[in-house]
Amino acid sequence: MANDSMDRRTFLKLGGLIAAAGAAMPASQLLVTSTMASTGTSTKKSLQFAMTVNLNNCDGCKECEKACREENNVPDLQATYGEDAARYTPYWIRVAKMKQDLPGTEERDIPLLCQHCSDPPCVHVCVTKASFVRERDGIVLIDEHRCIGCRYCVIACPFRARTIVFRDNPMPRDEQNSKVPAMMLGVATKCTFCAHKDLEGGEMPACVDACQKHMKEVKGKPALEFGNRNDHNEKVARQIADGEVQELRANLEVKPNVYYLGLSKQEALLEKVLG
Amino acid sequence: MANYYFSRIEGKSGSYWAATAICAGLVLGWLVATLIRFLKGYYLTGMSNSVTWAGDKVIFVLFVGLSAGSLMISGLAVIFKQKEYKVLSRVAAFNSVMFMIGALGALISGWGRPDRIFLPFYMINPRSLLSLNAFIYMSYITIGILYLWAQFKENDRWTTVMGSAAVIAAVFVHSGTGFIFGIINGRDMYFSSITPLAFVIAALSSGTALAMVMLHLTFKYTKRPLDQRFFLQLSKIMLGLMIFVFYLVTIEHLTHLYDPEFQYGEKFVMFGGNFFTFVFWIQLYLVGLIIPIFILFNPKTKGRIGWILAASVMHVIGVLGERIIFVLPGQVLKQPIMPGYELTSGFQDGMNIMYIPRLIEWIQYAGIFALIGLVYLLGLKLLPLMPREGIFVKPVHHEEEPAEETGEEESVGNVEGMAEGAGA
Repeated sequence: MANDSMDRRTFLKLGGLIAAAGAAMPASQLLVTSTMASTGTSTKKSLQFAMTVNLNNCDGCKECEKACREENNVPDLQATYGEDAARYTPYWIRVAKMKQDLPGTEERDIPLLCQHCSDPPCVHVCVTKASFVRERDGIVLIDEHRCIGCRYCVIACPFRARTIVFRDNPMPRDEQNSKVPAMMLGVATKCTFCAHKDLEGGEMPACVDACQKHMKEVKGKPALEFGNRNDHNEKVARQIADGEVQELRANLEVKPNVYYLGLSKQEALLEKVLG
Repeated sequence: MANYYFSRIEGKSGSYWAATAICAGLVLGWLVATLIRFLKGYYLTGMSNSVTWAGDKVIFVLFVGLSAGSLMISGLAVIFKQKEYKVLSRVAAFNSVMFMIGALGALISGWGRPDRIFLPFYMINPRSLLSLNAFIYMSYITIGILYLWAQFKENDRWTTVMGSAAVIAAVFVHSGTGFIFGIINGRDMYFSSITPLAFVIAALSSGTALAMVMLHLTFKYTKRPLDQRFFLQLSKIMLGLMIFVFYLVTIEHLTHLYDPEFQYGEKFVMFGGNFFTFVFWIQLYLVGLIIPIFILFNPKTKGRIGWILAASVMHVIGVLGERIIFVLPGQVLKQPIMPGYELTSGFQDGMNIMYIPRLIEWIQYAGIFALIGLVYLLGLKLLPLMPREGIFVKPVHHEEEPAEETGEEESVGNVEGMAEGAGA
C-alpha cells in the first residue's frame, strides 16, 4: 500500500509537472515576444517595400500573372488539368474584373495580390510562426519547411491572397526557375514580392517588370510601381505621401503595403479628362 | 446498498469482435486515405482555394464539443457533489478523453503536413489561438487521463482535484475552439464574440445528449441495469442547455441579420434556398432544437426513456448542423475583398464556391468516427469503466468492502472488485 501511495504521488507530481510545463511554455514565449515587441518594432524601419497599383493605367493584359507564374514556379493547373482544377489553381497575383455596384459604371481591371500587411492576420494566427514579416524589408513570407498545412492563415487573410498547394507542379523541376524553390505540396503559398531577387539593389518583382515592359510597348503608363515607401526619392513613396492612394479593406486596419490609385469611378473620369 | 463494483466487459462475444473489426478496418481506411491525400495532395478532396477548412474541421469542432458534455456528467459526481452520478463518472470521463483524441485525429489528419505533428510543440506562436490550443488540448487530455486514473484508484481527494482541473481545462478548450473562428475579422460570418459562448453551451448540451445515448446502449448491450432516473435528471439539464443554445443561436443570427456587413451572409444561410438553408432550418432548428425541446416539455413524452433518447439523438444531429453552419458558410460565401464592387477572376473571386466532400474525405470521416468506436470498445474491455449496476442512489462509502479475487483486479490496483464481466 505504501509503495502504491508513493507511486501515485510520483505519478501525479509528474503529471502536474507536465501540465505546468505545458502551460509555462507558451507563457514564456509570450514574454519573449512582448520583450521583442517593446524593443525591436518600436524603431521605425528604414526599409519597407510597398507597391502601388494605378487602376487607371491597367489595361488587363495579365502580363503580370504570366510573369509571376514563370518567375515563381506557380503552376497553371487549370491549363493542364482542365476545368475542375480551377478550384485549386494557385495565383500569386491575379487580374480581376471589378464593377461598382452602381448603374452606369464600367467594368475595370484590378490586380490583386498579397498586401504584405504590416499588421498581418495571417502571421498572427500561424501556429508554428511559419508565416512571418521579414525584419529587414517588411515582406510577409512563409517558411514552407515549418508550415504544417493547417490553413488557418488562408482562412484569416482578408484578401484571399493565400492558398494551399493542392497539387504538384506538372512542369519538371529542370524546366522551372532554379532560383526559386519548387512549391511544396500541402503547405500555404502566396506572393513573396519576388523576395529571391535583389530588391534592395534595384531589381523589381516579376509582375512589375512585366507591367513596365508591356506599357512601354503599348506606349502607356505602368500600372504597377514598387519600391521603398520610406525613401522619398522613390515613386511609390511619393504616391503614398500624396495621399491619393487607397487601401483595400482599410477598416480592418491591417496596414497593407499595396496601395491602389483610381479605385473610384470619379477618379478614373478625372484622370481621363485631365490626362 | 449501492452496488459500486466497476468492471471491464468480457468482450468475447461475436458482436463485440465484429464491431471491433469493423471499426479497426475503417480506422485503417482512414490512415490509408490520409496517407494518399498527404502524398497526392488536397486536389483529391472537394476543397478549393475558397473552402480550405472542410468536413475535417466540422468533425473536429463537433468532437471537441461532445467531449465537454461527457465531462460534465462525470463532473456531476465529483465536483458538483451529485454522488448518485458516481456510477457513470468513469465511463463519462473516459468518453471525454476519447472524443478529444478523435478531435485531434480529425485535426491532424486534415493538415497538409501531418508528418510535422511535433512542430507546434516547439515552434510556438503565442498570438495564435490554434497554437495555444495545441497545449490546451494536450493538457486537457493529460488532466483527463489523470482524473480517470484517480477514479480507478478510488482516491476521492485527487479525483476532486483532477476533476475540477478537467472542468477548468474544458472551459479553456471549448472557449478556445470557439475563439479560433470568432477572432477572424476578415470573414464576416466568423467574427463574433457570441461564438465561443454558443460553442461551449452547444458543446455541453450535445455532449450530454450523446453521453446519454452511449450510456444507454452500453448498459443495454452489456446486459447491465441502468436506473431510468439518470435519464430523467440528465434530460432536465439537457433541456435547460438546449433552450440556452436556442437563445444564443437565435440572437447571434438575428443580430447579424440587422447588420449591413453581415446581412448578405445571413440571408445566404437563412433564405438562400441552398444546402445551408436546409441545414439551418431543418437540421438545426427543427430537428435539433424545436422537436427535442417539445419532447422534453411535453408531459406525455418527457418522462419516457425512448422519447428522451430520441430527443438526444435529434439534438446531436442538430448540433452537427450547427457546426456545419459554424464552419462552412464563412468560406463558401464570396469574400468581400472590395465591398461595393462585383469581382470576377480566374481565382474565383466574387463567387460562392460550394463544397462537396469527395470519396477520400468520406473514407477519412468514417475512419475518424470509427476511431472513436474502436477506442470505446477497447476501453470497455481493458479498463474497469462500467459499474455492475447503474443504480440511482447516493452511495455508501465502503472502503473496507472486500474485493473479489480475480486476476483482473491486480492490474487495476485497488478498484473495488470486479464483476463477473457481462459479455458484450
